[in-house]
Amino acid sequence: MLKGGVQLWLGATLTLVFLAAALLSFVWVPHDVEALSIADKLRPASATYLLGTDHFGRDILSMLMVGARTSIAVALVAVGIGMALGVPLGLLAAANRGSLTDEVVMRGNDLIFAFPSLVIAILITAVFGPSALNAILAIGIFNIPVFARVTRGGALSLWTLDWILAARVAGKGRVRISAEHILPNILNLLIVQGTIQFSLGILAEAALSYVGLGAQPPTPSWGRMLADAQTMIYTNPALAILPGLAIVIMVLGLNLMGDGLRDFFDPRVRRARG
Amino acid sequence: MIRLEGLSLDIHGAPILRDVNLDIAPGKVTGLVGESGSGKSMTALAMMGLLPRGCTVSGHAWLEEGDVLAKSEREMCALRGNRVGMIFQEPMTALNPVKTIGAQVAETLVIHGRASRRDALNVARARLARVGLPEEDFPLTRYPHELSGGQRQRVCIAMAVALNPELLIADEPTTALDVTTQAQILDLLKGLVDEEGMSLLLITHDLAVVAGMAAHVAVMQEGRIVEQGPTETLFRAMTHPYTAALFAASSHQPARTAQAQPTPLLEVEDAVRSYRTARVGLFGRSGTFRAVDGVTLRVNRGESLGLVGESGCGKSTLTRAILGLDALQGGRVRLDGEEIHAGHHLDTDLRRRMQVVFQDPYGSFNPRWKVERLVAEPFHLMQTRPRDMRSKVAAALADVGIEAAAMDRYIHEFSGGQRQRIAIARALITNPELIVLDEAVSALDVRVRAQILDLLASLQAEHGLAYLFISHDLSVVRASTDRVLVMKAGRIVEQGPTETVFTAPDHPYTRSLIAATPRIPADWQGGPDA
Repeated sequence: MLKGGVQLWLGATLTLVFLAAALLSFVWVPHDVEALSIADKLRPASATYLLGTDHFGRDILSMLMVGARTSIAVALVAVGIGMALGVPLGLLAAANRGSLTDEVVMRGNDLIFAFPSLVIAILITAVFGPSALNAILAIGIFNIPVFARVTRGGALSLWTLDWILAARVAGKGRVRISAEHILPNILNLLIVQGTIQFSLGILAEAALSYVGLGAQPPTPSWGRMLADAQTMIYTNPALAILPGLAIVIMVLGLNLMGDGLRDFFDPRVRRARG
Repeated sequence: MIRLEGLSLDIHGAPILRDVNLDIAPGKVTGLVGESGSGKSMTALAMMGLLPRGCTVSGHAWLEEGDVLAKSEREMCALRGNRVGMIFQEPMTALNPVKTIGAQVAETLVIHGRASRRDALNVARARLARVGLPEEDFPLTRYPHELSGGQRQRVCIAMAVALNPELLIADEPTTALDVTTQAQILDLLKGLVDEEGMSLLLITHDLAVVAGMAAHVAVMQEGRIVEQGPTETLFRAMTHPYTAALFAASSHQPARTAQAQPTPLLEVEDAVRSYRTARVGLFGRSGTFRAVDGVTLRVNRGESLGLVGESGCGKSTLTRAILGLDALQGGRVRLDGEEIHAGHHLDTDLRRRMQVVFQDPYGSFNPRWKVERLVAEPFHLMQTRPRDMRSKVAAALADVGIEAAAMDRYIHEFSGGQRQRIAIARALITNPELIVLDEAVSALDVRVRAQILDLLASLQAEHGLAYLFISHDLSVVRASTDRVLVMKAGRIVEQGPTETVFTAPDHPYTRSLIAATPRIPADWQGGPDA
């Protein structure tokens, strides 16, 4: 049996395929995605155009590759923002359990949780103008409380352990204990949560782009490919199906990987597998 | 008659049990004694058909209904709880926290189709009354969290005996309980066996518990029963060296040299610490609970002071205050005349002179660090980290009998006893004058415990250390301390030289503690080397 189960490796493989495609698109794509060629529009799949072309004659495979880049970049930075701010806040709250700091951090969390995230994201992009950067910010802000909460929960259970007491007897302060003892021992939680937030980020980016508030043309994005295809859904269903499939498979891969990582890091599951 | 015949067990190829033969007589208590990892619990689980996956079993476990090992899971479900009952060490986790005690006892009856829901509650009521929880004082609608540890264990027993099983397996039933509670639970079990004619398989690491309870004893080592026989005969003869070693270790007296000086090192004056209790109801007032209620104590240089008390008496709260981890609300703690203020502003030099060893060897170390870094952690208290840190760590490890090569290994590679040695090395590294031993040997097997007590005694002589020995285990405190304090409900109720307190206890509480401690009758103590 594979450590972490089939799902971890299937999920990791799917994720890596998309990641590789996105990275490859920086140096090479089959066709230029910004070059319009009306003569080649709506071609079916062929040797030249592996997945066919859209209504402007752009190669769909190339657009999917560059679109993956957009999605992954947006989701990755959004998760980064969430972690960079949420994890320290969670550690701070746990280290000062029950104090005013803890209350302020956690009630602030609840406040952000109480806002409908996508509506606020739309608001942000509507006020500051639609762009990939604003989409990143909008998605990232809503990742902060998620990571803060996971971090605090994991850290609280560690703070009661004897080895933390031993560190306090060794004269270490809260900041140092949080960095040296707590953080390394909740990394597994954070990685698992990170993959899940990553997949949610990709969905959110697709949703924002679909309504035209994400990456702007000519930058290809899966969400806008879907939006562009909706008028031709009866005549050329592949135009909608392909970006849709890309979103589904990428998110599925990330979720599988998240579940697999959870099992992988869980010593109980590992022991049961022998 | 319940009989184990040639029971062998492997888990993923690793041998766990080897050719175990054991007769469990009806209406009698059979003791199964051994250290952790000897296979005692696995024997019980095999009889319940509750073995983990990956096990290969051979041999037979005969009950009235036939060979348990040959039965299907479906047949075992009918048997479990019905003909064989089991109680575990930790009564907290053995009960469902969201179901009332009445419902949990009744459930057993309903599952086995023995009674309708209404009748089952009546039986549950009678059973709970039998185990000492009469309905007038403990209504069936109580939840487990509303009961004490001993009361929870009584509920577990009521569940296990609800259907009058042929065999009751008790796996360390009193290990998690205080000594006075332990005596009551053991009494209850013995009464049930006598009255209801069931067999009790009592699994324990404690020879004294077995001596007082069992008619027949089997001693287990590394998956084999090395010696068995009627209790008194076995204790008098002790033909097998392992039995003799266990016995010697359980009454071990470390060779100590009295070296206490009359100068005080640690002084606690009128320490008070109270907690706010939960509000009763939405608008109820919250009360206060005085965990430590005016404690005054003194540890002299080079002295071993014992602090004895049951769980909840305030030992831990007091320990944390002494270590400067939690603040006191009243009173003072002074080390060598300098006052200890809790919190992060505590003078590091003061902290350096006082270290601690905790109870749980498995929870005392960051699993992601190597031993060198773990032992060196208190160097954080030094103004500058010593250059020869690695050799200092090696020296501390050598002091506790751990080879220097251990520095590059992770903590999970060590046994419980080794871990406790490493914890002591960590406490020694800053050359402290006082080490607080917070139940430091309570989680260890008797032979390992004896070694650690010897080690502590020799370290004390070598480094002139003072120990504050906090324990619920009276025999350990008696063997290792010069003076002893008895703590109850946040107060010190008795103190004095250890031998005086133990031989002529003054306070009724001390007397009840000593009376409740199980011991092997003095005239049984034969053995090859006596």
